[in-house]
Amino acid sequence: MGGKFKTSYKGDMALFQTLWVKVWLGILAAAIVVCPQFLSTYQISILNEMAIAIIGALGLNLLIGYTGQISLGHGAFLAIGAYTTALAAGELNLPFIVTLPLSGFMAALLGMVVGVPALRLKGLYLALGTLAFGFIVDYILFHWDLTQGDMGMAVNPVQIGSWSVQTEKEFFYFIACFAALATLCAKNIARSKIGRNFIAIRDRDIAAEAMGISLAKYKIMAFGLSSFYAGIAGALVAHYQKWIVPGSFDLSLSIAYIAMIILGGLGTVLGSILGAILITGIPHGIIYATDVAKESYPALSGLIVDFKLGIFGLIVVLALLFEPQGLAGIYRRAKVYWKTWPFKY
Amino acid sequence: MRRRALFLTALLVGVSMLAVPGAWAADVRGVTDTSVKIGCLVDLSGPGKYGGPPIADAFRDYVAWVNSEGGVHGRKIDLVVEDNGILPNTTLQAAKKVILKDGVFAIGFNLGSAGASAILPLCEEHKVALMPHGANKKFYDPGNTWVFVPHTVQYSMACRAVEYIVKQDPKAKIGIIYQDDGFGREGLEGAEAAAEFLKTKIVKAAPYKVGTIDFSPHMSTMKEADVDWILLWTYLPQSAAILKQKAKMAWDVKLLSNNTTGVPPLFALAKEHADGYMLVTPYAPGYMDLPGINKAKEINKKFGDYDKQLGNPMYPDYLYLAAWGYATAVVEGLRKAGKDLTPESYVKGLESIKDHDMGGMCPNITFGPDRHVSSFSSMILKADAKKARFEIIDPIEDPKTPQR
Amino acid sequence: MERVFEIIINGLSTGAIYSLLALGFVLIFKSTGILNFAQGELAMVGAFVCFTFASQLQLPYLLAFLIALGIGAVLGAFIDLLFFRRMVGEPVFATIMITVGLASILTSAAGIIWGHDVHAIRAPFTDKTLEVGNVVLTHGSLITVGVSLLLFVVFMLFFNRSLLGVAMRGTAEDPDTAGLMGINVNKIHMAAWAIGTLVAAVAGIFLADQSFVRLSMSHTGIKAMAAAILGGMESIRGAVVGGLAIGLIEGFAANYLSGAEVGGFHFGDVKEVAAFVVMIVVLMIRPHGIFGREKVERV
Repeated sequence: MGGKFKTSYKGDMALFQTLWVKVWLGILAAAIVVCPQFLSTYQISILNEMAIAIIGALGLNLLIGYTGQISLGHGAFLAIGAYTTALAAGELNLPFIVTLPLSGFMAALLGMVVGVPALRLKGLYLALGTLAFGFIVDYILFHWDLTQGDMGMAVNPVQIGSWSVQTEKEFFYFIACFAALATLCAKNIARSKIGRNFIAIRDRDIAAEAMGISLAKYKIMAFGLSSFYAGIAGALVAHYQKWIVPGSFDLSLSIAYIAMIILGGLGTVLGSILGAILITGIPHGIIYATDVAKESYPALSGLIVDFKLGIFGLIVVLALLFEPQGLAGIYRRAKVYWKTWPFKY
Repeated sequence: MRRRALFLTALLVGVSMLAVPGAWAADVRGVTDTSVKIGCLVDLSGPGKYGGPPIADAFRDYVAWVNSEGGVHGRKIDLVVEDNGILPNTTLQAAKKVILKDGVFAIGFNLGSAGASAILPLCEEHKVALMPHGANKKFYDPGNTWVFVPHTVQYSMACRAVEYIVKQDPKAKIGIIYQDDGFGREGLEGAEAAAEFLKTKIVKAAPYKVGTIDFSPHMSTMKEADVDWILLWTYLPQSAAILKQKAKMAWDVKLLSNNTTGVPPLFALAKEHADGYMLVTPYAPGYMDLPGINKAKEINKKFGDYDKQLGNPMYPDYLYLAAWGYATAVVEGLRKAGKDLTPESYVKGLESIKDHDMGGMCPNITFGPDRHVSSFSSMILKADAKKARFEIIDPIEDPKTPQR
Repeated sequence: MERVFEIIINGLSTGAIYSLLALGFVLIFKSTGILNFAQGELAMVGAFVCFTFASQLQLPYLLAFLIALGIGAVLGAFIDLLFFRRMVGEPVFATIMITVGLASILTSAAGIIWGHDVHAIRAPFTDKTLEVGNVVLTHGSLITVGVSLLLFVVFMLFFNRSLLGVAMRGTAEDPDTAGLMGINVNKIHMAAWAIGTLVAAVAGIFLADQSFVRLSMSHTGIKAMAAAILGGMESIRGAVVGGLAIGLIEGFAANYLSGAEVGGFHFGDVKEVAAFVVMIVVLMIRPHGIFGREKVERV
C-alpha cells in the first residue's frame, strides 16, 4: 500500500493527516467564501438548505453510523430545536445567542430521555420506539396552544448585537460557519475516546461492556449529542425560514436524514456531508429536470412528481443493496485505486 | 491544529462581514414592457392531487383568453404552474423556485393553508402578492400587506351554515365533526361564533385527524348527544365515510358540510347515501345557467378541452370555478394597477377593486385597504343523488354574525 | 351501557383489521427476522389490485378477491427475491431501512399506477347490516372478524403441525444451522414473504370495505405495528389479541378523551396517537410484549 506511513500515535490521530489535506481544505474554504458572489439567490438558497442538512446529518451519523443505535425520530428533534428557539425568542424575548444553544440543550435533554429506554431496547425495538416518539411530538405540536397548531408560528429574525441576518447571502456565510464548526466538532468527537467507545458499542455492545465501557453512559451520550446537533439544525431552519409548521418535521424528514447518511456513508464525517449535499440537491435537480421536460412532454411532469416521493426510498434501498459503505466508501476505494495503479493492491 | 480551525472560522466570519448585500435590482421582478409573470402553486402530487389539475386548467384558460385580447396594458401574462404537493415544506420549495428562479411578479393561487403560512415570510421579503386558497381568516385578519383572499373563508361559511340551520329550525341541536387542523378548527370557530351570536350552542364537537376514515366513534358521540344536525368540516373522503357510517347506523340526521366536498366524486363514493347531503359554498354548481358560468364555459370551449373539463359531468367544476375567481382577481388587479406596474402599485390596484361583477357564479369581488378578503357570503346547496348533482336551496347571502 | 357495547363492537371490527396486518408482520418476522415497515403499503397495493379487477374490469367480487391474493403472494415472493435474498445475515439496521425504503417506493409506484383519488369497492356484503338488540353490525366487520380468527387458527396449526411451518420457525431461530440441517433457507424466506403479503392483501381489502381504497390507507400499517409489539413480535396469538386490544383502546380513547382540553392543550383526535402511546409504554415496561419470550443473547 502506497501513501503515508504513520510512525506515531500522534500522527495517526492528527486532524489533518497530510499537507495535501490542508491545501485542499484551504481551497475549499476559499471557494465557499467566494462562490456566493457568482451564484444567483436561488442557488444560494439551495446551498443554505444543504448547509443546515449537513449539521443534522452529522448528528444522526454520530448516533446511527458510529454508535449503531437506530433512530426514526430525528425529525422530531429538529422540531424540538425549532420550536424552542421560536418560543424562547418570541415569548421570552431572548436574544439569538441564548436561544440557539438553548435549542440544542433542550433537544439534547429530550434525546437523553429517549435514550434511557434505549438501554433496554435494541435494534428494531429501538426503531419502533423512536418512530412512536416522532408521532407523539408531532401530535403535541399540533394540539398545544403555545405552538399554534398546523398553521405554524412566526420566528423572529436572527439578531446578533446590531447585525441582523436578512438576505440569502448573509445567511449563507452565517450558516456555513455553523456547518464548519459542526464538522470540526464531529471529527474531533469521532477521533477521541468517546468516538472509539461509540464504535466499540456499535460493533459488539456486550464485548464493549466487557472491556469496561459504560454502555449506559455512552449510549445516552450518543443520543444527547445527536439530538444536540438536530436541535441546532432545527433552530437554524426556524430562523432561516422565519415561519415553522409541525408538518415540516414529520417522518419523511427523518427518512430523508437517514437516506443522507446511508447514501453518504455510515460512520464517516465525510459521508454525512456528501449525503446531505446530495439528498438536499436531488429535489432541486428534479425541479430543474421537470422544468426542461415540461416544455416537450407536459404529461411527463405528473409522473416525475410521483417519482419524487419514491426517490429517497429507492436511494436507500439501492445504496444498502449495492454500496453499504456509501459515497465515502466509493471515494476511499477510488483513492486507493488511484494510488496503487496499475497494481491491484 | 485547533488554532488553525479557529483561524479558519474567524476568516469566514470576517469575510462574511465584508460581503456587501447584492446590488439592488432596478427593474421589477417578473415584469417587462410586454409581459408579466404570475405563479400558480397547485397540487399535482400528494393528497391534494385531485385539486391541482382543474385549478391549473382554469388559470390557463383565463390567461389564454386575456392574452388573446392583447393582455393587460400591453403586457401578456406568462403563467408558471408549479406543483406544491400541499405539504408545508414542498410548498416552500415550490414558492422559492417560482420567486427566486422563475422570478414571478405575484402568486395568484396557492392551495393549502399550512403551506400558505409557511411561505408568508418569503413573499413578504420579496414583495410578492400572494392569494392563498383553503384560505383562513388569519390571512386577512389582521393580515399582511401582500396577502389577498379572493374567496369566502371557512369562518364565514361556518357562520352562514349555522345561521341557515337556526333559520330552518330554531330549536335544532347542532353538532360538528371537524378536521383537527387549521381548516377544520376555523370551521369550528365560525360555527361557535355564530351559535353565540344567535344565543344557541354547538352541543358536541368531535375532531378527527387528517386522513382518518373510521368515523364510528365520532358518529356514536354525536348520537349520544342526540343532535339533529351535524356540521362537517371535513374533506371529501371523510364526508363519504361519514355518509356511509350514517347509513350503517340507520340514523336520520341532517348533514351540512363545507365547499371542499361539493364535487361529483362524492356521488361515486357515497352513491344513494349522498341524497340530501347539504353544503355551504360561495360557488354555484357548474351546470347552472348563469351569466358568469356561461362565460367560463365559452372560454373553456375556446381555449381548453371542454369535453373533458366543464362539459364532463364527473369534472370537479367547483375547483375550476373557484380558480376562475382567483384568476379574475389577479387580472383585475393588474388592470387597476395601471401601466406603471410595481408590487406597491399592484397592491393599490387590488385594493381598489370594488364590486367586480362575477355574473352570479359567486359573490362579487371587493377589496379595500383594510379589507383583503373578497367576500363574506355564500349559498347552501343540496345533493340530488339521482341526478348526481347539487341544487341551490338558499341563495348567496352575507352572514349576520360579525365577521371581524 | 348500550354505548359501551357499541364501542366494543366497533373497536373489535377495527381491531380485526389491525390483527390481520399484525399477523402479516409476525409471519414475516417469525420466519425471516425482518420487521417489515412496508406491511401497510402491501395492504394498500392488495386493495388497489382488488379494486382494479372488481370495479374497473367488472369481474365478480370473489374472483377479484382471489386474484388480488394471488398477485399479493407473487409480489411478496418477488420482493424477497429482489431485495432480501442478498440481505440474509446483514445487520438489523440495513434490513429495516430497506423495508422503509420499500414502503416509499410502493407508495410512489401506486401513485403512478392508480393515482391519488379515492375509490370504493362494491362487495356483495357492502352496506348490509344485522341488528342485535339495539346495536347495528355490518356484514363486512363480521366477515373481517371471522376471517382473522380463521387465519389465526390456520397459522397456529401451520406453525405447530406442518413441516414447512416448523422449518420456518427453525430458519428464524438460526438460518445457518437450519441450512446445515437441510432446510432450503431461500425457499422458506420466499414462502414467508408470499404468505405475509397475501395476509396483508386480505387486510387491505377488508380495510377498503370499512372505508375506501386510497394511497394513505397504508398508515394503518404503522398502527398495526403497535398491535404486533403489544402481542409480542413472534406470537401469532399475540398478533390477534394485540390487534383487537389496540382497536378497543382506540375506540374508548376516541369516545371519552377526544376533544377534551387541559390548560391550553387540546386533545384533538386521541385515536390517532393512542396506538403510539401504547407502543412506547409496552416497549418501556415489557419490550417482548404480552406473549413474547425474552431472548437471551449469547456472546
